[in-house]
Amino acid sequence: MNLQQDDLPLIDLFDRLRDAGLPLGIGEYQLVIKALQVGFGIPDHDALARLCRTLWVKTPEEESIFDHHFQKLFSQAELPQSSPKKEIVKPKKSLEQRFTFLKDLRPPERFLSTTSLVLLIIFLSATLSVGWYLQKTQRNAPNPELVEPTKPNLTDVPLVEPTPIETPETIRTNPEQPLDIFKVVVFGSFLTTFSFSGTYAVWLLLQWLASRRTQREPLSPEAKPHGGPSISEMIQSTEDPIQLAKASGGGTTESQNQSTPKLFKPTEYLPVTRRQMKQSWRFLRRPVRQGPRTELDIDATVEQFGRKGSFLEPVLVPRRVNQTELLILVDHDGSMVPFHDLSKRLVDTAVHAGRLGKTSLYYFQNCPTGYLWKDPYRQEAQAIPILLEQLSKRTVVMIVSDAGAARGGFNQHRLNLTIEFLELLNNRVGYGTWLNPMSQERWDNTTAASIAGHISMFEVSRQGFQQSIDVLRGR
Amino acid sequence: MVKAVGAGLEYTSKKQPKIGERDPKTQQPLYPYFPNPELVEAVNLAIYLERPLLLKGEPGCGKTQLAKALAYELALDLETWFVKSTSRAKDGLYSYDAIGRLRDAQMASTGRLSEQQIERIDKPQSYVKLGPLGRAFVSPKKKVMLIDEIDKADIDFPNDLLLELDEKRFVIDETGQTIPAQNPPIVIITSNNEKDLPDAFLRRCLFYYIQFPEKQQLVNIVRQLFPGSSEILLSKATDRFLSLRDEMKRTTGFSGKLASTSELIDWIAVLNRYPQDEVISKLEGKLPFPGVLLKSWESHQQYLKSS
Repeated sequence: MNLQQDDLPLIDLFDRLRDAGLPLGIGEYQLVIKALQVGFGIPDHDALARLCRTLWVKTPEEESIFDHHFQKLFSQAELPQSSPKKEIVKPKKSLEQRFTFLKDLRPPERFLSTTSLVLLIIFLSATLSVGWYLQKTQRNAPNPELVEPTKPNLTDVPLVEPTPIETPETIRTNPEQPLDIFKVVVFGSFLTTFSFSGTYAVWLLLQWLASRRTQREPLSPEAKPHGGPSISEMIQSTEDPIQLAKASGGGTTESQNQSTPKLFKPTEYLPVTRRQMKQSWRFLRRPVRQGPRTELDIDATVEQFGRKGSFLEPVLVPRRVNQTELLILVDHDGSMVPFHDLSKRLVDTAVHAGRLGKTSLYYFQNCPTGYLWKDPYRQEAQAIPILLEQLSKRTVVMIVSDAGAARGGFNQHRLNLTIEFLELLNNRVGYGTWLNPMSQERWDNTTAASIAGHISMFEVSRQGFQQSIDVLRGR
Repeated sequence: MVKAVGAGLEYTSKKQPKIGERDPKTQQPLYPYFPNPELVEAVNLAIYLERPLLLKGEPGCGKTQLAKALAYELALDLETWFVKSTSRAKDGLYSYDAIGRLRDAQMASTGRLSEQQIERIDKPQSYVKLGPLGRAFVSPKKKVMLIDEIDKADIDFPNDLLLELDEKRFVIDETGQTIPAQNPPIVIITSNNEKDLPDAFLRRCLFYYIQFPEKQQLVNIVRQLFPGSSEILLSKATDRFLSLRDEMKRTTGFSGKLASTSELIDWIAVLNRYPQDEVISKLEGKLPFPGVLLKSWESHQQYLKSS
């Protein structure tokens, strides 16, 4: 299929990729246009995909996001060909669309919504029938009373006199009938309006729920590389961290107002993006000159020349090496299960992108006592005293745990064990910090608040993470 | 193939050296290189847009070979910069011989130099020695520049090269000269994916991940490299190699090292030295010469268990 340049929704693709978090600028878009003008990417969809991929995609995670958006856009782009059909189909589709949201709902919600609708209809019909019945009975009662006074009117000749006597009686009974009917009518109309407004409210609620579900599209770059999971698996996985951070205020305050895109609601909890973590880890540097003398120190050489009067040899100094030794202790399983993604990301960025001198990683559950484990499934144990022997005053420690704040409540035993461990650490290492995935408001009246008294504890947000790194640097 | 307008240079991967041909300058043997058509397209894109091309892939998949093949086909000189962990960005551009200047100044003060040599000392330019990227910029003819294994160096290293890659010029601090690129080189950068590269650097590059070739392509590569060997031997060896690779993928997953294309070529070169019948019968049984393909004790154990 030959594509004309005007029909290509490249701007759409570009915008969607930007929203998904790919670092693209106008320059990249111009590059694609420049390449298109020469002839790259024109023959077919695959060529265009390859062109955009080469210019815009830089990591395997971004590639999966790109593939998803490209496929979606190009399956829609085929619609313009059948434009006359589309107009006829449109009104029907909108009706269908209005009902298809019911299919999007999951079974429990569907059940709930249908039962509530059925109950409302039953209630409505019940009220109407009761009202109608009441109406009927009250109509039967006043009829004989109406008939009787008319009879004496007809038999008596002097028409004028008896009627004024008897009309008050009829008048007395008549007002009761319209009052009853009136009451029933009012009651019925009130109930019908109430039920209609109720159904309408339920309808709106369901539409909102369904739209929330269909709009969860941006994918996470955490998808596995190398032919990773299918698109449907990725859609269910965690959302894009950069977009999340933007919407949850992890970035600058201005971006908070601008980037509240309709297709995303900040309900997931990954407030620090991978890139932000990497940048923060890089601050944890202790560059010390260590190792073989390989670098030339020009100033020292010139100074030596000046002092000694002759040039004997150059002055060499060793290179700077990041001598930070970091020990990360991660709480795994139990109350930390919802934060596994977060702790995994922390660990990954520290080990691969942190460029730290030495990173040791151990796992524990709930509180570190007795043993620490080298893997998250707690198979290889290491006794704490032996581990502490290997640490030096230069090591800095970061503990990642909710400290009881996830479940809430105060556990004295857990507090005691943790304080014991912290005291052991204090004697052996330099600086220590505690990262709590729960936000600070949730620490009150829990074990976390007490532990926060013994060690600097920070929540996991951009600022919190940066502050914890500052503590580890010694500020 | 796509035609690149204007630049005139186009890589088609059709021109291949013959077996036994040697590079006229270095006398190194040249080998034919068979890239994916998509890779060829990416290379042409990089040439036209004048952006560096970042290649990633398994070790041994032919990232460095691409630059050599490109230089051979376009008949351009190849400048290589093999980045080390101690490399700094400045070293690739130029190096200033401060010690030499100091030594010469000392010799001048003791009167051991001639007039001409003393004049030379006064000019700082004479102590500037250009590195590979510097030479590529200065040369009037276009060159192919290969920056090999950029992820070995410090994290700031790629960021230090941004100005040079973007604006195609560099500044020599000691003399204050700005040297623009006469004819911007075609830059090919390879990375082993050991460390993450900074985003600002990635933004300026085009990216291509070299996949492991399909079976047909693999057979084609092997056939062209070993024209003397019989078809049966080559196809049996390739099949055995692919089944071994699949098994390795299953057991170690994507994190372990898988046998790569260059190891296959080495292995077939070894197999070629023995009589054909012997080798074919060996291929059906236990894997001959496992040391060429399996590089760790775990893989040997796993492999020996299964056969």
